[in-house]
Amino acid sequence: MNEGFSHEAFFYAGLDEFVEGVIAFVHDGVTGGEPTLVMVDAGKIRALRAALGHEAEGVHFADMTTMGLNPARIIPAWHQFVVQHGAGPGRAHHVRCVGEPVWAGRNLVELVECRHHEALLNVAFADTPGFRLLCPYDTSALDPTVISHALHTHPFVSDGGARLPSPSYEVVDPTNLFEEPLPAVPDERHELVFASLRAVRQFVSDHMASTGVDQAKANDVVLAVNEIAANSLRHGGGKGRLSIWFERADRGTLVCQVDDRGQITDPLVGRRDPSDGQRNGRGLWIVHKLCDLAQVRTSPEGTATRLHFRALSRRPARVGVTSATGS
Amino acid sequence: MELSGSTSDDERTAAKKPLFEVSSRVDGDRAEITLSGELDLGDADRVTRTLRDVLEGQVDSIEINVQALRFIDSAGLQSLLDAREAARSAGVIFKIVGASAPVRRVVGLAGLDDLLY
Repeated sequence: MNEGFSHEAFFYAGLDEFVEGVIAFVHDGVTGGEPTLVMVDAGKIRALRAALGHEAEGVHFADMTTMGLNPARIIPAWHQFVVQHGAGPGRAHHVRCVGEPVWAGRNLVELVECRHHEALLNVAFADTPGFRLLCPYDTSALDPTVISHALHTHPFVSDGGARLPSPSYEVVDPTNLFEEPLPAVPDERHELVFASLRAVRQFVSDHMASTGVDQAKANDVVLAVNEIAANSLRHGGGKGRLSIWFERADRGTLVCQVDDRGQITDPLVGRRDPSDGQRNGRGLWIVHKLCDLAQVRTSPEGTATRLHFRALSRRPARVGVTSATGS
Repeated sequence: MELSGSTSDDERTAAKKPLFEVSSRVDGDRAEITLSGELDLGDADRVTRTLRDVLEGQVDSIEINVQALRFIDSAGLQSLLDAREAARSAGVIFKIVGASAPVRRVVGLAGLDDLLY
């Protein structure tokens, strides 16, 4: 039977059903000699290790809530595992993976990016028949729309160990994913029209300094914004607009958006490991590691890249303050 | 909080920040290239040109000193990769020395740690 990449949704309600379903899947892999990687939250890793007993020794685990907090990092993680274990295109081996990209704490903006990620998986591994991936979704914790989206993005559904075609799988043109508009930029923001990277870095540094963000994190934000702005200069008509604000809902989250006139045509840009020798996409690859979420929207009209940096301490700007030494 | 208007590049660059500098010194068959300041997309080609000039002389080894680099982006990184490639193609020993935190950070993020060894 000619099998393509097997991308399966696994619906469960509560931890016990999760463990039961996943260990059956993992057990088949281990006994079949297939390298197995499980990326889920730390609590679920503990539960699986306990249930697997000695069989857990043959399984790789990683914490999805850090590795894959920014869902754009997930495809590279699978790709690395696939290649490492000889299951890439044209290679003979098989690997088996479990990945839970969506959990109850994900906000609406993250859920959109997770949905895009699931759709992009089908593109990224279309020529990797040796890869079988199980994606658990908790029906007791997630909104029904999320479950319905999962049925659209997964060609298969795992049911009691059997793999069935999804009743509502949709083949998607990936360029459509990136045309959905972002929520509006808030009025309360700082803005810079730029034609040089030095101006961008200065603007971001100044803003970081006035909000009391720690230096290492500030450097990361400067680097990330510089990379996106560099793409504007190189591919986006030589200039762009940078907007910076703190999230209204979660005041600890800093958002930086770069708008330019260029168009991105590769839906997987930034999700391929550039140390393989590729010249393009290294900037966005780095950005995805530095930020907690990066939303890219692109069309013939231009490109908007919105970066989210969470949990930045924020000191309100103080006006008319004399020296703290009381002189 | 007010919406701040667009800020001109001139105002920004007038805030005396040291620019990017590249210099080279040849001592016998050994060349040392020194990079300082901030290396970004706008200046990456200066690294490439300097390396090409150095290779036109008869050197056996090239050392790029990045001790004084305060910032490097992926374009700057690419110019270092290109430099290594050009040197190797010419049979010239190539080494980067003095990598500080900003350089190591970008190199690590790009998965190119062997550039520094």
